[in-house]
Amino acid sequence: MAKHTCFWPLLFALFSLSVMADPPDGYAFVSYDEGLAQARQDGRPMFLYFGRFGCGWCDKTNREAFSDKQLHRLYSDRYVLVYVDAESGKRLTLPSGERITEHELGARMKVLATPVFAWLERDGREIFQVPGIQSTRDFLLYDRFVSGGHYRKENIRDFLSRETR
Amino acid sequence: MTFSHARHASLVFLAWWWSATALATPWEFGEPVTVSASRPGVFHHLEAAGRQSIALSAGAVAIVWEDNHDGAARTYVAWRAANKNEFVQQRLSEKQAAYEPAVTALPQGGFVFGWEEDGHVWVRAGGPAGLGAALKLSSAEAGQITLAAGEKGVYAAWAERSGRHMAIRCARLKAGVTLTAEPALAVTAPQDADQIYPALVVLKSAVVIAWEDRRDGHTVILHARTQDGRKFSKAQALNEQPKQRSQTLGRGTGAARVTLARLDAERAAAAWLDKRNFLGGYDVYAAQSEPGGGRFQQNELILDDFGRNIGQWHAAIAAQAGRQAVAWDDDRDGSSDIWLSWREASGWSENLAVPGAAGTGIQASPAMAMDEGGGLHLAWIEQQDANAPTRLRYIEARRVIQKSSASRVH
Repeated sequence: MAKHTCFWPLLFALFSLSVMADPPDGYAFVSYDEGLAQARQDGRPMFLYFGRFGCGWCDKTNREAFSDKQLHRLYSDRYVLVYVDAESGKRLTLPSGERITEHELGARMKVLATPVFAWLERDGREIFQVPGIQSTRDFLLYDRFVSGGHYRKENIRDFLSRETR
Repeated sequence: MTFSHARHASLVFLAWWWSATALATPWEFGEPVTVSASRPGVFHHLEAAGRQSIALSAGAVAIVWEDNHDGAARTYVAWRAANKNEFVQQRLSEKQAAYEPAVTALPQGGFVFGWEEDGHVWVRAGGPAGLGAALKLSSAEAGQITLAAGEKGVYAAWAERSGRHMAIRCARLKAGVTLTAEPALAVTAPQDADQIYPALVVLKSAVVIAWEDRRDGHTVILHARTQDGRKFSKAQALNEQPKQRSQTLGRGTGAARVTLARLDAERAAAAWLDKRNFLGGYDVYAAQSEPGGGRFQQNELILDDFGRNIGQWHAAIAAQAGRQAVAWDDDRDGSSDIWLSWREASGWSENLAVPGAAGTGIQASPAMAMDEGGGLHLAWIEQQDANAPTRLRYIEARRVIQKSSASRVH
């Protein structure tokens, strides 16, 4: 009986967590402010994950893409990982010095459906963003676009068109 | 007819159509006024919970905002006395960084202000003649204060930490020489999820509150009321949910930032951001309560065809004597403008880009109040581009008699 008493709350907790659409497990996601400070310090670009509480597409992307070990290693090494809750009133400070909320950052970056993934320069300037469910392969391609410096010469559409031909 | 003649004729027709339909709006807009001017490195914010950033009292207008012009975030009020054109500024907050000020008008005249400072929520009463002492309402980390007043008194609601999560609290304030407060009520039993961003309205027979609630694993707009001032009714959903949950979309599509207004003595009107049509981002939905504020009627999308496929932000509602209007910002015309829709007998009007609050540059974050004559008082934030300093603007619109029921304006 004692085993059962422990089992159900644990199962409930696991189920609850699985649909909360927090950042994926095992990744060192930090707040926007912390991420911007880290990026300025170590020179890495930022990878910004716009999620939403209860977002099914975020949960699916977490399970199916971010569980990949290669992706985990690559993104953890090459990017400062930032998670933003698109409905949150948590405050952050933009590179301009303006203080806004995470929800307001969504308004400024025109975030519509979640998830939205954005790659930012170390000074916070946006390189590009993609909305919706993404696969491991998608994220690996996006990484090549950013870490290979292709974004300085062409837009993401042209890059993907060439790379996936 | 040559192509250029046809083009000219089309333009003339469009210009005629625009002016003809523009005349059919129920408001005549004045000239926009700068309430707080732009300065390099200074950013203004209108972001009260419930978008309660503007209030009217006996012809006077009070607008509250936060900016950083003295080096840190502070909250301010600008007054415009009856029959005056200019706004006069005064600081609301004390010595610490302060955010998200809210304001409501007192039935007997004057205003009550609320804001967050040093991790707590504070209130004070006042008017152009001066401000009373500041009173701390919260007993733990708190923010997102909103205010409302009516026959049942003056009320404040806010989000306050309760264990690991934020919970909605509500307190009746006693306006006097010095503002005092009755003990705060918990709006619901403790929950294992956050409750944030309350909106409040005081009706003749009840105090109605709505807020964002995460207890169901996604954000739902809930509402409750108190009639005796001692206990709130069981929370009910304000935003309608799909009948079947989608595996792909998770537990829900999302809703945010509810705002309430007093439609008449016994009915409340609500508007909020809703992602039920999730691919286009937030849409603006509205609903009005049944008498007494215990239940809300069906949700209504207030966007016209041009607004439905684009995201909306910062919805604010204003109401008076059965009339209601909702303002928000969206960038359907290429940059962020302030848009307006109003309730007609047949439903919500098509959307009007507010003259003086649309066009070049960014116009965003509207807050709005409606006066006893049905006139609109609208404040918003304006900047030339996303990196430019901001300024706080205001416009007044006098209600005029509609020439026809076909007020179709885009």
